[in-house]
Amino acid sequence: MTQFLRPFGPTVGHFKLDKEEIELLQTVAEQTKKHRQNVGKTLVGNIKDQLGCYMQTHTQTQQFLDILRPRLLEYVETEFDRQNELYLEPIERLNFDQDKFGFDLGTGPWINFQTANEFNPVHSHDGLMSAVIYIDVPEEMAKEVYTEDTKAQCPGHIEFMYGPDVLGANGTHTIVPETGDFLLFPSGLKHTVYPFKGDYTRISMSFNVRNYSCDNMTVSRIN
Amino acid sequence: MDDFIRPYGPTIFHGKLTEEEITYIQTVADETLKANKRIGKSLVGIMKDHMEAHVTDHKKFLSMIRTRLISYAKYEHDRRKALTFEGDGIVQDESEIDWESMAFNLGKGPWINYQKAGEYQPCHQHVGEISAVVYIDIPEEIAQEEYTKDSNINCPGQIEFIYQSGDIGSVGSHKFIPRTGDFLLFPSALKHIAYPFHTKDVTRISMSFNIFDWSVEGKR
Repeated sequence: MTQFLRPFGPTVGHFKLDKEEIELLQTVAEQTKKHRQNVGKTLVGNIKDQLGCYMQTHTQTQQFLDILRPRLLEYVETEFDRQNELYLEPIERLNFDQDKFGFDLGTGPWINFQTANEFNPVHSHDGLMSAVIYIDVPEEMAKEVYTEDTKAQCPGHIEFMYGPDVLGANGTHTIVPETGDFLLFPSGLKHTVYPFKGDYTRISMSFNVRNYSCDNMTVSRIN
Repeated sequence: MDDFIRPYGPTIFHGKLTEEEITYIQTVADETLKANKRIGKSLVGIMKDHMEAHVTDHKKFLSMIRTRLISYAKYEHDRRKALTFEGDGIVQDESEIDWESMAFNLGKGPWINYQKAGEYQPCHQHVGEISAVVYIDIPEEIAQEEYTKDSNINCPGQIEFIYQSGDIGSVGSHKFIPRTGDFLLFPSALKHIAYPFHTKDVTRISMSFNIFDWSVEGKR
């Protein structure tokens, strides 16, 4: 039987937030903008407003963690099963119950308020897994055409890079973000965010998961 | 004896054009702009002016490339030879190679990018075996730009090469601040990106081309 094996390369989790979750994060973004704790000096973005995320109440923090928990767990569980299927003799499955799952967000999330001509150069993150949540992405952005004289259009897109493009392997993968998209990927996976031209603000949140624990086992990045 | 071995990853050649060569290639850029053969639709740059290079003195142009290509091929030959343990018997005798016999194929030929404020090249790789960027005119103001102090990276108009991950012991990307006359050669599959800049009323002019195959007598 013919088989095509694709065991290599990183997995990008793509989740969708519901309306209520988006509204919560939009409220957090407004508070963050007012609180104005600029953390740009610790980040690579060529973006003027990269602000430390500000949660106003304990309840808000708990609601935020409730948004993250099922998605992080789904990523971890899916990866466990995917890799386990590749073994000749699968190992015993962990207990992936939510109440046995914990995670550490280190110094916490930050929010990028990206405006025209701003961008994030190629970079990777610290930690084990990293996330981008698109809090508000104006719909006009994806329709921008700067020039017809090109075969690429990438206004405000995020592009992940992993090795060269050769027959049988993708070297990069581009995602056109929409409000409510939640991406989760290994922290070492390089990516870049392209500029756009329109007079609006593209708001996204990022954070790094330094380690997680599941079924009494803690996992962190080896290096 | 302790040793650190770095056999992996691509080699980038960084050469400098002479003053005479810079003057010549700037003339080519002026004539290219007049000839106005627009080829942006076959390229990925988010920029309005990509033109097919208008080269009339082919001998002079190819000679400029040949010396650098020989240097790259020779360096790679010697580097790989040094990595081979004595007695492996897989390295050709250097005396058999006539480097001056270098022949190469540029496919559809070079093109020139006239990059303005806010324009850029997204992450891409080239076709062919070895590719080149020649910096024809890089206004000095670009490298001195500082868009915001609230960032730990400032990269106006820089080129960044990207190669796998940046785990310990390995560099995942390498940035380069181009200056007029810089000549880079690298494997065509090595991904790279050219960042935008903000300075108005200046043009960053660079040429690119791909070498599809090359040969020297005694080696292919």
